[in-house]
Amino acid sequence: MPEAVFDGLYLMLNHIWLVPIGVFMGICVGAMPGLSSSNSLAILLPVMIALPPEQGLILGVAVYSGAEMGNSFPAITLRIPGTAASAVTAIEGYPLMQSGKGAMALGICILASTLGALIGGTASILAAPLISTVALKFSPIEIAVVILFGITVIAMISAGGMVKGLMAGFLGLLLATVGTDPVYGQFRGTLGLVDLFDGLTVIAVLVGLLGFSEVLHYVINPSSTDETNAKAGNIINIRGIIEGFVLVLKRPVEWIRSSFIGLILGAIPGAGASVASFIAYQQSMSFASPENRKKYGKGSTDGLIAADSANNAVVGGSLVPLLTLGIPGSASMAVLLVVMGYHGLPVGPTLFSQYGEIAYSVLWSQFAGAFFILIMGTLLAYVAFYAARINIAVIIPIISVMCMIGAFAKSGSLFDIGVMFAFGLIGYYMKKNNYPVIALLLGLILGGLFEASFFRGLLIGFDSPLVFFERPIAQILWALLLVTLLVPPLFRCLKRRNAT
Amino acid sequence: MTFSKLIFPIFGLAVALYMITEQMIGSYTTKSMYYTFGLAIPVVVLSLVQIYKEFVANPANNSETRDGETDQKMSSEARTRFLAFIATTSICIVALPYLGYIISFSAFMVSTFLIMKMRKPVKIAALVIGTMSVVHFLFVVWLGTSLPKGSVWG
Repeated sequence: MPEAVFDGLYLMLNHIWLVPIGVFMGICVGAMPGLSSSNSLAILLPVMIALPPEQGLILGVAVYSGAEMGNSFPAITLRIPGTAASAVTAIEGYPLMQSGKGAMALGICILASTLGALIGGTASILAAPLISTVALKFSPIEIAVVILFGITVIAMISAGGMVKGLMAGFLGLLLATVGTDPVYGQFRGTLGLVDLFDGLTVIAVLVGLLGFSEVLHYVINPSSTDETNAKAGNIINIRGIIEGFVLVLKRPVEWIRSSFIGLILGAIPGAGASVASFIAYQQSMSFASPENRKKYGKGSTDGLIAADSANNAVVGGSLVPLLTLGIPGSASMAVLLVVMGYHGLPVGPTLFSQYGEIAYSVLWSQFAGAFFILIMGTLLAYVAFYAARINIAVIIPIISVMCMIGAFAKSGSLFDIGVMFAFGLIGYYMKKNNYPVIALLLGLILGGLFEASFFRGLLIGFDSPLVFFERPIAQILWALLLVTLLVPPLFRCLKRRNAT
Repeated sequence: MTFSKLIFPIFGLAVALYMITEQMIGSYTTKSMYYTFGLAIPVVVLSLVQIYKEFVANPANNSETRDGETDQKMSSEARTRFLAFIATTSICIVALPYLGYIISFSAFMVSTFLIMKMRKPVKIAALVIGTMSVVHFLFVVWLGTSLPKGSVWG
């Protein structure tokens, strides 16, 4: 085992104080309906970039893990899923709350999330060095194809459809060209503005797209969280929570299977916790006995276990492509990528060889995060009900101020606040009309790397574009890309033909 | 069909056409030009496809948008709130270099609370003071982030 594994563990233990803070913040933010892990990370970006890189990343992973668990609280107590990822939790958890088993439902979520995080952490620590060894063999050609593959996959699975997804992805790559040409030194797309000579500030764009756009959404649609649907006798108590723990421990197949689903889907760019929780839920239903299958949709504990363990296993799964290939699997990982880039950490396979202790400290922090999810989740479950009822009007100004600070903090330029504001508007209209924001973000963040890899690849191939199709790894990636693009429409065509 | 559905494809189209035109008019190297065209042309095509789809889609069909909301026009109250919030944010950004972060952000927060119909002065004051305290001690004092002090504070 490489030395960096133990160096990373030691580094993480030195900064372990950040994990409970991050988990606490993540659970609190996740418990507020409408705020997801990516929003909370975007808002905390100025804090993460001000800290040393290992601290910022450990804090980010802790917030991410906490938020994925915290999303379940309003889903169970008020049937308001914090994000799409906790929609299944609302479907199964809320009926349990209504029947007086709210504490048990919360206990299930807490322990299932903890176990999912543990499996995600274990798998990521074992898989990351293997994948980074393979990734070290990647030349600029493979890197360019991997980036294209990542953007296309996101486009494929986006809710709005392929056209919207590809448009957002290509626009992101195009916006990444704004600034100075890295090869020829010419200004591109700067509108004659000095502030754009260095390109669009990624942090400002990220905060705008993920954070400020949510603020705009809630200004227009302030959600009503004043409804109290919980019955008077529905008290959250420790006995009920422990009952939930025992139930989870009695169903190991359920959480192990779902955790692996979350792990695999977390590694796929764009899939994320929402897809993972739904697929894990669907798999749980398909493996259930006919008698148990009737309970799904009406308070099935197995369904709840499946969704919540998949949710948190996604964290481990999405860290693997981020740390080994520099490809963020989700918007939250995109924030961590920005933190890495800000501190000058190499993005891609060389991270493990040059800064292995930092990479491993991030992976080890998942275990600490799992422990604190268990402790803090149990303590905070008592106030979960009240956190979910915070008036959104209180949160909007606070988040707006944090977004402005986040945009300003890196460069000290007021122009970047304007960029944040503009992209907040763009992000609002994108989300309103089902354009995948993550595709635009991925294109923008990876656009520079894509361009550099593309031109280096052309140099390797003596200016022949065929070089991108000649190497074996690139050919496998192209094959995967074609399968991703062609198989779903083919299936749909066959299905329609069989139906007629 | 509502205009909001066209905003993003029009934005994409505008950016792509600008980049293409700029590269064609300016004396850019061939490789750089082809790279930009290679990205901009798909954006142009996909934006036009999306705009076309929005125009030919049946306007009577309410297509589901975010979170399952149907695509309805914004109510006038929501539109007023939105425009007021945009105006408040813009004023805050413009005023920041002159008034500094404490005054600008505080005024912004008070305005936003009023826009969102919160009318409890004690609660508003507590939240503003609390937030500004956190901003000052967390970002300025502890993390050393340099926030604009403005002409007022020098």
